[in-house]
Amino acid sequence: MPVRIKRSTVIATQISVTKKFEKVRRNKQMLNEIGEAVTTRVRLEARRRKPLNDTRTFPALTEGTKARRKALAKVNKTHPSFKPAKSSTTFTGQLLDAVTFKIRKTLVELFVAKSKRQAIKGARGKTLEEQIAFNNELAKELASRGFVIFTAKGLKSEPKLAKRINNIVRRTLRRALKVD
Amino acid sequence: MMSILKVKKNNVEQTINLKEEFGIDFSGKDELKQLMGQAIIDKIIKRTASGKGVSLSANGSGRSVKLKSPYSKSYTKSEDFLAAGKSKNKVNMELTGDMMGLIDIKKISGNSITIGWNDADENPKAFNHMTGDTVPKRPFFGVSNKELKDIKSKFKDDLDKAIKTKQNEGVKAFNEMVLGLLDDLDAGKDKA
Repeated sequence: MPVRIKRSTVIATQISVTKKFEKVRRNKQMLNEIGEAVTTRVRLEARRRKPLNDTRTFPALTEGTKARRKALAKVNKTHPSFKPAKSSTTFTGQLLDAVTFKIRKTLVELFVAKSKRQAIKGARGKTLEEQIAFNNELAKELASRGFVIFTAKGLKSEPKLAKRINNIVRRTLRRALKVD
Repeated sequence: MMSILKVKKNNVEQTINLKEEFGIDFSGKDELKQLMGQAIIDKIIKRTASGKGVSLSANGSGRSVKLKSPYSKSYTKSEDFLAAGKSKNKVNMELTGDMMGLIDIKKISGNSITIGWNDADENPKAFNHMTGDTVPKRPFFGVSNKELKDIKSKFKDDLDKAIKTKQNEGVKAFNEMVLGLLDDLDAGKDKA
């Protein structure tokens, strides 16, 4: 005997499925987990002297820059991973700590926050007032000199991170399964 | 055997027979197996984040153990440790977060599920921590019978309903769609 399904039942089912799936796509916990995983990786890679999603490393430092960084480190509190001779975007740690994310509907948007910086004593002979005041502005200035923290490309050169994100989505989907 | 923990260099995994542990026939109920598998993974992650592990015996019973802290001096001075901004006293098995972030359901069949890693880098890493090969032994992976009982009681009402009542069409369609998406994402997993 053929099974007859009323058109109204099918439509109701489709609507119910779409609405529930939309909840998964907009799942705050999932989007937050993705944002956390990506920002943590950006900071880690930048401190390892490599921008996220880029195979190039940061430009090498000149001997003069190394000497200046060493001198500045004596009068400033530096991030634990700071090394004067190694090219990185970490000195005090403020810039990378300002890497954050925003959730826009189903999208995770990565950016450097416009947060005020604590000045570096003795930097390039400038007064504290003359230094770049905000982290997002410093990120732009550094990028113009080849120190790009992250790019807007996909995650092709970050297979492990792509795998993590895939797993975060799969875990969220599993938790969303219904039993009644 | 209710659950079997395998700790080999290229394969660290635990297979759990859900029927024997929960007293419910899970065959043909993929959505329930996926849900329980995820609950087990969540349990391991939560416990590890709190600095605790489990010492499992052959019969599946386990004893809660504190994951050895602090981290070793040489590790706390390493470039990666400093770059990750980790604290030397807080042992949570995370540096990049990849090992914990990639624990997965590896296999589902009949009434059993297998939890572990589908990743060539993370298996040896987990093996090292589980056995104390080159680092202090920190048995963070696996669940004991008692932890499985906790999961069972947390999902008791849901499981009872799922066994006794027929799923409505909306729920069934939703679950089918989710399981289909999980399959698609599984297929893309190795390419990532």
